[in-house]
Amino acid sequence: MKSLSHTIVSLFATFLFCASAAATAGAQAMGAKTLGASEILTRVDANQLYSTIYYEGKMEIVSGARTKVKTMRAWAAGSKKAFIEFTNPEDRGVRMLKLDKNLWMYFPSERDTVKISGALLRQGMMGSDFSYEDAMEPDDLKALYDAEVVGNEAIDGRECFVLSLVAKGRDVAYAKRKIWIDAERFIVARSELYARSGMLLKVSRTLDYAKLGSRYFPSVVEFSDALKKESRTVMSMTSLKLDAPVDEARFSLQALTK
Amino acid sequence: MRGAAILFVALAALAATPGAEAQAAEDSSDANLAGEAKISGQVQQTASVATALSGGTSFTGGAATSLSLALDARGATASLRASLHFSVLYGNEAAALWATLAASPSAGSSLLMAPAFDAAAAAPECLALLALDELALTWDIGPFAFEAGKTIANWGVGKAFSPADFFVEFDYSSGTPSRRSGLLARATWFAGATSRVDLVYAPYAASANALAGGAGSSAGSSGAVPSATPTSAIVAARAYATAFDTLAFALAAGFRGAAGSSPASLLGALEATFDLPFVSPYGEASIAAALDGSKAIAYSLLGGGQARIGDASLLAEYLYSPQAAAAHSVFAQAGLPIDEWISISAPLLYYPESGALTVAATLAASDIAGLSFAVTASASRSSAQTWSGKLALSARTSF
Repeated sequence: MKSLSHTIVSLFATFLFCASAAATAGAQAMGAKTLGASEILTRVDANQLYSTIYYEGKMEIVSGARTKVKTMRAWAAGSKKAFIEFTNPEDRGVRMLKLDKNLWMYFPSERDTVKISGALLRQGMMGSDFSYEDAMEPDDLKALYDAEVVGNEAIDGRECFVLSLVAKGRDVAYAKRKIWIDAERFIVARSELYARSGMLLKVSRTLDYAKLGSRYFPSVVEFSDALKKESRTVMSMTSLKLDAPVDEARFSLQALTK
Repeated sequence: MRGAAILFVALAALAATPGAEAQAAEDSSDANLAGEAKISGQVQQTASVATALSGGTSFTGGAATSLSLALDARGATASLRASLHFSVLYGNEAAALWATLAASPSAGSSLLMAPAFDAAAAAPECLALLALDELALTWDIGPFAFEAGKTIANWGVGKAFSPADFFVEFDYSSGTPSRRSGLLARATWFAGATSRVDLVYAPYAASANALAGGAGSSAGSSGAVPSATPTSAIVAARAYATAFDTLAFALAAGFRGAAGSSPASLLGALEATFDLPFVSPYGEASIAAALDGSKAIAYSLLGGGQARIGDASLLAEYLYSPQAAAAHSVFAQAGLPIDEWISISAPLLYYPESGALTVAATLAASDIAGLSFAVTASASRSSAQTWSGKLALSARTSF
């Protein structure tokens, strides 16, 4: 009765956005090689700014040779408000609402609204490699983590800064992160999420981008749970609209049950 | 016939709803949601074999073929949801439905049933039915919403028992409890993004629910606590809110009309869910006070919790209703996903006083070649302490 983080910024919308956060000006790469971790994150954060987002998404959950496909429509305002409605036949009408640290799901067949909480937050969201807890993770990496540049590496032929992030406190889902940021576009090309013990928990990769105006926006992101063998979730976005007006009432219990 | 009349009125009202295009133009990202209608459905085939386990075995077979259709139509300010199913049942599947209807006549939501249900007659070998599961029209006007039709109030937090839901009648016949829809009208004020106030009127609510949280209303084919439930009108209000990111709570109060030998009563309820890191406890409490003072104040207490250990999810509920037919009721359920496609679940429903018990285990595989499969093995002990067992195999496809 009802399972992305800095990357998932408003659930999937947010995830895609953060996992490979959009860069407004590739030209900003000039002089980037001399930037410190804080400046790099500031540029990444600046690229991520949008007031609202709407997209139609396809989530492919892959396990071995099997693939399960879920489709959805999603709206988000900033990183704290998001609304998703699933449209594939099996889950049609299932809706999710994120308001800051609270997450609700609506199941139309039971007409039931469930607040996802506590232990259930660690559950895979809709059978994917994203957890509800991932979705609840705040997106302000600079505020939550101490960051340092630990090197440069190429990801898919593109030069990236490699940053190591260590949580300042305990109130985060992942104690450590390692992120690869495209040195030209200032987007997160790859991200590894670690437990306090140092165990690798999850990995995200940006597989494709859409160029919207001067902005590069990730359109296909792969997320995998390192604890599951041969398991990954690929999220693709189409019909992207940024900064289009979204009724504030979209982000309410009223919209969830409408 | 009542369902058909409601459907006509609902469709006419939805068609008359103005403003869909105008509102869509104001909110481009919402355009896809304005003025659309979708029909979805499922086809399910079930085959089962059942046997008595006490005093020797005697196997009976059964099968059920079911087509479910759902309509979801939305305008800018109104929406209509309707769902119905057509089923043909043979053998013990027909007998199970017959037993459910005998135990709880209000469970009969069928528009057509052949042969017609007769509590005095033996279960037929084959029966067909067309049942209306939901038919509800909703209007949204600013922060207010109005809903009328055959639907679910869905108050309370309990999954198997819910004394704070004055309107609920649970169906335990599938092993996993579900709420039955009923005729009701609701006005809702969404006071904030995460708070709401509901006013609900149900002309034919199963009156036992307000006292016993629905525990005694129907145990389906398990025969655990069969009892016919008279209906009465209930009008009640409920306020729901959240606090501190960790607490969701609701308060409810209402009035229930006289039903049978039960006098009119005032109703009250409290429900709360706590968001803790490793377990989510929840609880409900309700009271019913007879207006004529002829009966002592009846009360029910529900305690429950959900937890997660590794990949396994656990749920347990205990209901204490000293004035109900079953003073103590227990429900527990464990679930374990093997992978994204295959999962195991095991529900248990137990009434300690009578000893009635139903336990089941289901292995489910979803979305394989467009089909979902499930194998369920269940065992039930009736209040007469006789055991029975059932093995069911089902296949389902959605469109």
